[in-house]
Amino acid sequence: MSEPVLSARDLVKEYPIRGTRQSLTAVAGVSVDLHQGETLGIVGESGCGKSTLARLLVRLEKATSGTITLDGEDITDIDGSRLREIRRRIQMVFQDPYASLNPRQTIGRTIEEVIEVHRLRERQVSKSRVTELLEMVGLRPTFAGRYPHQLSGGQRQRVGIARALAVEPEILVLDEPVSALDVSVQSGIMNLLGRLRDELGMAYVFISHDLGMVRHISDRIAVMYLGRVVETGPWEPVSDHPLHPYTLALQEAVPVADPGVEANRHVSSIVGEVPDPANPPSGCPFHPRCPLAEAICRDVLPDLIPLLEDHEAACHVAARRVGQPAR
Amino acid sequence: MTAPVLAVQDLTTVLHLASGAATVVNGVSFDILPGETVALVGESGCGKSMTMLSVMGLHPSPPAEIVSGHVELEGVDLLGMTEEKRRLKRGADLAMVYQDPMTSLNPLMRIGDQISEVLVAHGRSHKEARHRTMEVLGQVGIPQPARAANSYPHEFSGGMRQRVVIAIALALRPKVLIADEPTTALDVTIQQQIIDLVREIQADTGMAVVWITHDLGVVARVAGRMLVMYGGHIVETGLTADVFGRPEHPYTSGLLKAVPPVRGKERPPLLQIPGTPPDPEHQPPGCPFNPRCPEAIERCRQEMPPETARHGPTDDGQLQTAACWVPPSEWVA
Repeated sequence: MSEPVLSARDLVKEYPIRGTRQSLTAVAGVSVDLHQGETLGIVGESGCGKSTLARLLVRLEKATSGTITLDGEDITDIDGSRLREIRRRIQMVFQDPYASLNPRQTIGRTIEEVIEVHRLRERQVSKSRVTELLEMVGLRPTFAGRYPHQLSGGQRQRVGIARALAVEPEILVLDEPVSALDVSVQSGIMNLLGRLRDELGMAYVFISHDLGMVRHISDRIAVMYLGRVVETGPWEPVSDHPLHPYTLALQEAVPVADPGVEANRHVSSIVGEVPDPANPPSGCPFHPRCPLAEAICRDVLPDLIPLLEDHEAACHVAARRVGQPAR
Repeated sequence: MTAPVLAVQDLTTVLHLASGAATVVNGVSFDILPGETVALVGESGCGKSMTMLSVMGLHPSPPAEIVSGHVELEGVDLLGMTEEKRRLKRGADLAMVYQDPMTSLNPLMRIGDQISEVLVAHGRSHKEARHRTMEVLGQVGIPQPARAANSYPHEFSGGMRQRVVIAIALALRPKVLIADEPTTALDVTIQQQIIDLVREIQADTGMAVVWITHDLGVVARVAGRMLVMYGGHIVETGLTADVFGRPEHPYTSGLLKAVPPVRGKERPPLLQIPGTPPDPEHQPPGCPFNPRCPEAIERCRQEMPPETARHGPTDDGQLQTAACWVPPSEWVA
């Protein structure tokens, strides 16, 4: 397999808890690889650390420990002009572009500004580049003269994507890009993302709580729980034939828009809630909610290890079931 | 045929805005039978929440005004009664749960007091209220009800807060629970717990539920019957399995094809519905869906189609209805 374009090894992010000497571990040792032209889906519920991971990958925040490499170059601690260079190559798209668009500035000006900051075009040509970018995301050139409040949620997300594309990035990190949108608008954005990836050869990290959307767009999927990756592999085995009981619980909890399927399903909801990351359980972080938990799960944190070909999970019980000794 | 517990006839609500009057609920009629779960489906701004707020008499007035219609709860007209009488019906027979539990709980008041308050307002003694509070907290699966009753909302997680809101709604044993996107703000594993909880309560009490949602997966999971709204109108109704299996309205059909399939190796591009849902102030003439509809003909741009029976009645008397001028046999998309 080719070398990954973006690679994270053992990333840890701790935040101090105000007024105490303790810290909260939002990301607890995550390793992921992203290959050229590939989409890595990251799925998990609130508090699993997926958004923190996104911010670490684009270097909006510094990891407490671990390394991030871009094309083999260590970018974990770079800053200044080298960091600006990295920002050109990795861009982030947020859930709510409204919050990240200047309300007093036209869409065209917002995009021009990005081009100018990165000195990508001469000022005279940046206007035609704006038109080009708007067309790439399916907006008419007249949108350049509008303000954010004049746009619908879907149109604003298209602007968010156009702005990210302005610097011709190799990698887009998309944090819940369709979660705030209506169903009929989501599909347009998902199709747009798929088309742009194919046309521009970009790689995506697609982060969502929605397993259906992650399944739809990803080549590989990593499932996160309480700061760790608990299962990872190609999209189909992970989403449709999961090994980890948490992934299975997630898959069963997602209602399928098909009453025939739903009528024949007996979903047993998993008990309890995601534990407080400031006070994680001993052993496997999922054990207090896990229907399969055994004594070992309370004491020993399972490693993420390959259980099937190219399919890893961190679960003592799943490891035994597929005949692998867990470590 | 069973008499409906809730019957809504030709309900129309307008919003009086600076720019003029916008009809946000437009001639809406439906029946809810005892014990059933009906999903009210649609995207943001389609009028689903305003419909149910109008039914409850909780529409913000002004600017909202109910200009016509009847709402009957077990045969008693709710719109005709005084606000005082309606207030007693509300909560007792007809209760509502909202999307964000934090906005429906008082942050400065203990959970137990918030539940008892409802009971006392409806004439229960303080002793009865306290007893029922503990009972209902246990019923919604809150551990250690006595301790929980003494806690404040911020001490609970989102899922537990939604259980508290459901406890308040259930306190008076309503006949109909209106659940407005009760799980949208929650994680899927917690959503599933809430779905199970509502189901258990229904099995125990025979309460009917109107589940307002935009999530077609939730519809398929919870509802026996569904009502699809668009632009203030109900555009399709029927048994959930029938509507999913053979949608009779292009909007329903489009919504179903916009959701990624969750099974199989094929991942085709999703169907896109061009444009966005209409803003209530700028409803197009004719059918509200016509500017986005791949099937629209000239008539759709001029005249709102009436709701007509398409299939049925089934053995239990259910019809599939739709409001569209163009039958599926003539659809091009």
